Amino acid sequence: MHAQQRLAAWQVAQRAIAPYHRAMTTPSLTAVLVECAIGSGMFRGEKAVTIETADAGPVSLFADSRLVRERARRSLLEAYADEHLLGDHEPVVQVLLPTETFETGSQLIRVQRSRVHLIGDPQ
Amino acid sequence: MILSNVAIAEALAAGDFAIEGLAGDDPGQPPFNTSSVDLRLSDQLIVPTEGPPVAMDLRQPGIAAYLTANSRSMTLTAEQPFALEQNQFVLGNTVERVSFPPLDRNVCYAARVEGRSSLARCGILVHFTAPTIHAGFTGAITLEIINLGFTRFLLFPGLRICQLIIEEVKGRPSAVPNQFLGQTTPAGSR
Repeated sequence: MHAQQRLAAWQVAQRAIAPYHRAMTTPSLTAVLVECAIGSGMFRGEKAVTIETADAGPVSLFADSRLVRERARRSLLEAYADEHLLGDHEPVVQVLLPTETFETGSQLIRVQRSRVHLIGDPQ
Repeated sequence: MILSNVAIAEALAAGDFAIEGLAGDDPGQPPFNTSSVDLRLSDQLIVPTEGPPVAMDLRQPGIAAYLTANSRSMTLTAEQPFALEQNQFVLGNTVERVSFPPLDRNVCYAARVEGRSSLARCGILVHFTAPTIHAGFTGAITLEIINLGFTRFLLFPGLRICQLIIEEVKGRPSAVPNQFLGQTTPAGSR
């Protein structure tokens, strides 16, 4: 096989494994703010939070009050997301919540990227 | 691997996780035990009230709001503790507020809340089926308290009600779904 053919084959293979490589390398979780609706919690130090997911409808959880922020008439919950996915302009991102939701029983939800903000972003 | 009292104190000092409001910082003294740290009951209890005669369906949205609407909050004092009746269920939470960040470090931590033998001898469960404090959690720890004993039991603020056992999480947690997410067979997803 000529060098050019080998290079082309290598490039095809790299493109094929790229999504798997990305998922298997250790990602960096970064703090993000997720748009949500806020209600009273059961305890003084918590809020009832409702988030619209991309694929499972609205989900709710209780979160510590200090994780909830109000900016420009929007309520935001502090959570985590993988940094490299936020930069990939993915339409939907996976978010790690501070606790599981009642409706899905998971800390992980999928949210429209437009509803997820980096902590330092202007709101 | 479970952290010893000394390892807990070292990790707290290093900022690997936080336990805000802890009753002391000397690992040789209470609230530290050899492999856990005791936490205290706050001054607030949540008592479920009788709601509409419906079966709770977690598939329906708005469960958090429903639970809030169908409960009442009580404030405890040393002079006015709460007498937990036999088989009564209430929610409490801890004075201490914990934080286990999953951020970009070589190691992160998770924890388990466990009862204490002194309360167990009296028939008091302080949590059931939900002991894990996952990496990423921040807040006071909610306790599901029920009295399975033979007498009423007084709950008062500051009661050393549970213990926190802290463990290292091997590998950094990820929010990326992996090949096994949503699997339906032992072989994984297709």
